[in-house]
Amino acid sequence: MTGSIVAIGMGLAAIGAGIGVGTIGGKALEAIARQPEAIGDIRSNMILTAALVEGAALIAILLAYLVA
Amino acid sequence: MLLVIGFLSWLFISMARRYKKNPGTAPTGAQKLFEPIILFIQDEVAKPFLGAKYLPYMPLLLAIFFFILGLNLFGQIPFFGGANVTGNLAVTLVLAIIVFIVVNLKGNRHYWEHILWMPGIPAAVKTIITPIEILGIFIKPVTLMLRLFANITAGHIVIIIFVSLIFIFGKAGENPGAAWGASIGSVLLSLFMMAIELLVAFIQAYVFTLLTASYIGAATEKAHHADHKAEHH
Repeated sequence: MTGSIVAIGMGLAAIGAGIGVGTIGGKALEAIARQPEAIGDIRSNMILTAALVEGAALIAILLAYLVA
Repeated sequence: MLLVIGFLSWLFISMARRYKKNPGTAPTGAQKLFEPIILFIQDEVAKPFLGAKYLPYMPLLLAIFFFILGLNLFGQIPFFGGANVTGNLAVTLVLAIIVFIVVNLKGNRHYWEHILWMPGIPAAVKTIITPIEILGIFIKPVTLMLRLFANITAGHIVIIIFVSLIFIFGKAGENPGAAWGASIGSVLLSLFMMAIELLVAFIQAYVFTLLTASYIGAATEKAHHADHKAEHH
């Protein structure tokens, strides 16, 4: 029983990560479309923010993994 | 881990010696690979966050970046016997403790003022914010530690899963034909996952260094003197 709740929790964390990084990527693409010469700055900021959001999701998955 | 330390030390000391021997000449050999990376960290990570006084912290940031990068990459080699060091919570904990010590030792008066008695907001809100900020002193390095550990370990776990698919499909020895078939797909998936892990190795080293620079910059920045009461940040 605990195992399947852990699996559901990990899935929810993955959904969160997907939505978060997807939003970041979409906004970054819009920003590149508006101003193509800033592509370098936009790309580094996008990767940084994606790493931060994924960090939160991965911490959730890690803690769920430790339960079971 | 000692292997990575020895390798990185030999690499950088020999590069530094070559720089000292012929000053002012074009870079050769390994310098050609590392000089753009060092300049990248100096211009994109150190200068924006640390401002004018970035030079004392450059050795720390460079050491953190190349150490974590080297450890991550060596941890990807299969069968290397104990090379997966950043997948160990103790190592990332020590790195986070180093960041914690540097940030809090180098924090100036305004840093501590902002944490303990943040100026510019009503007193009732300050009593709520102060415990949160004190917790934040400890939580920020803890998130650094967990982020690095979880990213690297998650990649390793996925590779273990892909490899054990072979055994699952072969039902642990009963069905060798299915095992051979599954091994083709599993190897392809593992290759794909290892490519992603290389990317994650670079990104995690970069993010650790960036956040370290950001925390040190926040700890050592001068106060904003302009109208503190009217508009706070």
